[in-house]
Amino acid sequence: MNLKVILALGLMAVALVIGVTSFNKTVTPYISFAEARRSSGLVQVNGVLADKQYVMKQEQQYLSFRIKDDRGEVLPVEYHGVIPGNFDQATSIVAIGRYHDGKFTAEQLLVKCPSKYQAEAEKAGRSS
Amino acid sequence: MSLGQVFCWIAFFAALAAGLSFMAAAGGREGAWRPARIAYRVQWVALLGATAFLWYILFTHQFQYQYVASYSSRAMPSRYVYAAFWGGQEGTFVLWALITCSLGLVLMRLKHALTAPAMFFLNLPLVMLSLVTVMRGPFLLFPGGRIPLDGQGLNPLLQDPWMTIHPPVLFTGFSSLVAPFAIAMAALVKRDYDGWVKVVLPWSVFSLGILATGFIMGGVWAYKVLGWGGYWGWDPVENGSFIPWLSNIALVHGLLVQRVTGSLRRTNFFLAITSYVLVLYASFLTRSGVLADFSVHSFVNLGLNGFLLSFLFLVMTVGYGGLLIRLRDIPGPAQPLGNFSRESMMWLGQLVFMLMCALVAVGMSAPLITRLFGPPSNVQTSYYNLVNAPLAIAMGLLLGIAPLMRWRKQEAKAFLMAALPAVVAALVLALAAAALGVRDPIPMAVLFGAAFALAANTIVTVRGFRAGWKHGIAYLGHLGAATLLIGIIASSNYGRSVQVQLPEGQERAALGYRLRFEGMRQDREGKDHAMIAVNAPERRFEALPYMFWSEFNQGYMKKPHIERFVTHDIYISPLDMAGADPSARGVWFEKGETKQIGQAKYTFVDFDRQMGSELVRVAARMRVEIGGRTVPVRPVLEMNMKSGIPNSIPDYLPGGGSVQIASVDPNTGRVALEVPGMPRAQSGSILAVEVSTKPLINLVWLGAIVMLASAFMSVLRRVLDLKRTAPAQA
Repeated sequence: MNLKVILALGLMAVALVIGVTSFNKTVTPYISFAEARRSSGLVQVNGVLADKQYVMKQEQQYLSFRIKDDRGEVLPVEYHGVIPGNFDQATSIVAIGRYHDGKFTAEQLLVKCPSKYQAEAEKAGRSS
Repeated sequence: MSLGQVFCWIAFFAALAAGLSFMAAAGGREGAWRPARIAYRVQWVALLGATAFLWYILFTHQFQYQYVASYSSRAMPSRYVYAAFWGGQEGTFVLWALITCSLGLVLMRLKHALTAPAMFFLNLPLVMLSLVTVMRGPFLLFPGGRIPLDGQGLNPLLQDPWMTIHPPVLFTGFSSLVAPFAIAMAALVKRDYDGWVKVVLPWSVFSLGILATGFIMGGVWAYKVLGWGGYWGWDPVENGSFIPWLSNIALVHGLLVQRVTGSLRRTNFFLAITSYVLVLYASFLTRSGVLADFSVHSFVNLGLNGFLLSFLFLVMTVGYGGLLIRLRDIPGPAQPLGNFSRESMMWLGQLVFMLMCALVAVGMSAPLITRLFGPPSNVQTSYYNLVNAPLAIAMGLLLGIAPLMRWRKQEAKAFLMAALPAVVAALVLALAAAALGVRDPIPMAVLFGAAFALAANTIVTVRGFRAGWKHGIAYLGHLGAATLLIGIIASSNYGRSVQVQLPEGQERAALGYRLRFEGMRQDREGKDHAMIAVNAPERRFEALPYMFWSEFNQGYMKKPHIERFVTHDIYISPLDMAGADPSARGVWFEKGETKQIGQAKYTFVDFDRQMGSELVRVAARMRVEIGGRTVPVRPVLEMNMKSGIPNSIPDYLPGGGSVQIASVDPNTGRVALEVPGMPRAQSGSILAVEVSTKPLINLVWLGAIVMLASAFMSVLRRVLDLKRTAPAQA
């Protein structure tokens, strides 16, 4: 075997190993609240704001609220960090984080707002 | 049927006619050439007509068209109206078809045996694209003759000069990969396994340069407008144009090897086909709505999934099928790839590009892959950095090694002698980096590789340019790439960043800078920006990041302030603003009073009160005139008498905006409301900002510009080569 083939095989092996380990390390499954309660790793949950009884402290950058999934299950979420600007208008919230001690601690929040733009486009797609 | 729709139909039938005639011409019928050209030109004129018509209805605000109503509005500055053309998916299909067709016009001018079959294959996607514009084009009217009074407008994020030219540039690059695909297919049909290399090289290098231009424009926009501090976010849309680019850059290097040594014939066919397959795969992923839950982009499913998939499978079947049929007919390498030679290093370089391509493709397909085993999941963006960093080390080293080597055979000793100065220079740079605080092994290794590439390519570039610009130009591109790599490592790994709250009028420290928030000011376009006096050791300056209310997004739009220095940028990005006193936030209304705020007219009718033992509820009955109709709105304020905590329950406007009670004055019967588009609180606010430094960010831009200059001069070189070998042609 010559040098370039050895190098090529080495590169491919490194890429494969790093690819598989990085994939497993960074993949965050979208799971139900029940599954989130059972899991220990970084996961993604989504739902709608269950009620308006949330606590928002801008200065401490603290947010605590409850989200509800489509089965009606409710999950308390706590978040430290910059609060998304249009949080209270969110139609759906994606929280990435971990579950422990009876609540979900989010590291990242993705807030989706009512986008008339998207709704209109979907309507347009169907009606034609 | 509208005129635009007529143009689309004409384009569709002309594409069919052109396709059949090109097939006949490719089969040897000389007589078919003329009708083929005519049909193809008719198609181009029809697409041009559709384009002109779309602009016409956009500029004349013909809101009976769904597309016009969805992506433009009367209030939009006219310099952005033209960009609404590609504001939505339907318009981008027209753009895609027009660009593909225009590139075909250029290819058609070439007098070469491969031209007719290549035109047939280039026309294939055009048939599919014009079919889309007919089915889901931008010329559909609202059903029942409904005409909205005004449109929705274009997302203000996209209302930026960089953003208005970025999509067409990226689309040109994206579409242009059809040319290498078509020429490769023509070569397979005609069994011209070497002659296509010269024909395809200018196209392939052109795609490389124009796609890179698109990336850089997108990067500048992200950095200057989006405010998260980076220029590349590994978003599905970015990845979608990055993977065909990687495959295409592998193709360019393979073509150069084939031209000199006659090897890699099969590999090059595979890469040319794969580049276009990846274009279509990425279009499918980003347009089908498959990723809708995984991206902040709005990916609307237009119901074209089946169609996009069949488009993809058609090209895959034709491409890979054609290659399989000819696989045994393609002769092996004229001379075997050397073991230790420039071409073997370039072959390794191709492998690195394709591994990057595969790993990025796996990452962006994560929701599809994981769906096979369980709930669909996505990878975090850190995945892309983790997998690409080790490959970037290999890339830097190969980038330095290959140009120092000779074609075919290299003596190890002579190579070591040639590489010595570059190794020494790289060691010096690496030591300097270590002295500046670079400690982690992986960034250090990437830096070393890039510094080695930088030094080696400086040597060969100077040597090349002495022999004539044609010999130095490619190395200059490598020089740019190495510079870019150093800039990326420095700016993304070694910047400092901190979030800080700035109460108005008070000084706060962050990263050794002293910042004082001095309030909000409106610019001439009516957009609010914050004024922050910054006292930095380098200089004093006033930072003016934008923070304005957007009707479109029903949220605050933010734009960072970037203070530029030679060695670094100070990047101040507004995050959020909160009024310290809620009553200062709202707009006060007397009973029966009407006020115009933003795009709506609000009238406060009366209060409804509900007294409980624990809870007091006050609802404000409002009438709101918005978009030509009047709606009742009833926001509520609840006060828990025990805890004294108020809870404000907003009510929603038809467009999605919310109306909320900020405060109630029981003595005068007035109410303060928070409504969309109201002026910002002028005092007593707290502004949250992120302050960060971006070391050596200028190397990113410098490297990118050098790379682009090299790419476009290389296109010129390859065109000149093609003309020289065929002086009587074209």
